[in-house]
Amino acid sequence: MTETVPDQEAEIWLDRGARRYRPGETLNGSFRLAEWRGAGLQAVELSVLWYTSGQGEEDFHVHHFLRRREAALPPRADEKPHHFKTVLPACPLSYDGQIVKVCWEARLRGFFEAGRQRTVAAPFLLSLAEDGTDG
Amino acid sequence: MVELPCREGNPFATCWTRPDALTYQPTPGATVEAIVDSLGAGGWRGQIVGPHGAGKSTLLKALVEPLKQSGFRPVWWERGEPNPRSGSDFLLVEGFERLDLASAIRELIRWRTQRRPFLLTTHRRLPQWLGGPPTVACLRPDPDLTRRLFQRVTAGSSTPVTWGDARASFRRQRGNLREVWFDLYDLHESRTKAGRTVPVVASYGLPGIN
Repeated sequence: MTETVPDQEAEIWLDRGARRYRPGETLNGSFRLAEWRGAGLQAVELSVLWYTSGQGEEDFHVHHFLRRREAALPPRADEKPHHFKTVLPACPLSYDGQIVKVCWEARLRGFFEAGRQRTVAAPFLLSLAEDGTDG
Repeated sequence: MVELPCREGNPFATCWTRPDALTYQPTPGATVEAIVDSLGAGGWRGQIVGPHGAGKSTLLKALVEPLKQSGFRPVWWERGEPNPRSGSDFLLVEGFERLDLASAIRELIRWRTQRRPFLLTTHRRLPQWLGGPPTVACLRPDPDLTRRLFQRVTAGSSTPVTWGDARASFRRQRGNLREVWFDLYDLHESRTKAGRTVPVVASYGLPGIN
């Protein structure tokens, strides 16, 4: 079963319904640009990244990245879901702490005319244990 | 099923409450437009006065675009960095109270000699005899402002933290909004997370003291 993170105009989804992955596993996902194509889209960036959240400044690291110019994309009528995959690293694992959280997600960012941007994201868990806990 | 950690999990996380995440909430007499007018009337030199967590940094960031529209290039001042050379550079100085007295006087004299436009934030008003510029804003958070910010921060999110909690924190923290957000963050975490991936236990005990 796949889960989508729908946006009115674009979608991104991961192959794991429960969105749990272990280090070293391959994350497979897809995205569909849909109505972004007709809204002045100039480029898209797909990132698989982790970031911190909580109290204090955020840190982040992009593990996997690709960029496509709109001109290099197939004609809208012929567009099919775009696939991506990456082997996930050993760390950092997802962490839901009190002061800091480590969050993983696949993020699609669209760049439009006049400097506008839109994003949709599919968060997932990078964990050692089946139930999502570590240890 | 384990809930995925994400920044949306706590509406009081720093990413939602830091100065550049919350838009400046004007109070009577302290709108951005009025402050820019005051700056211009004062020769483009000014100070924003207020205690910790009063919104000085938020206001300073809100003035960047209006200063650009007034023909300046806002530049964040860093102690030790050479002063900008361009006449259109407008110095933005945060935390001026952190300078020792000699350094503060030296910088004020330098900026006045160079006819440098600047705007600084400080906890206490710099008097004129010290070279202090005109006061363009004096910020004092009040419960009404806190309520508006609380509603803005929690709009669209699910949290067991109530306005009553925020009001109590505001009193406890004596109007320091930065500490209020920290308080509410912890409250949200404690009320929503029954278990964690790692127990949150940090006990720094001194011998003989619990």
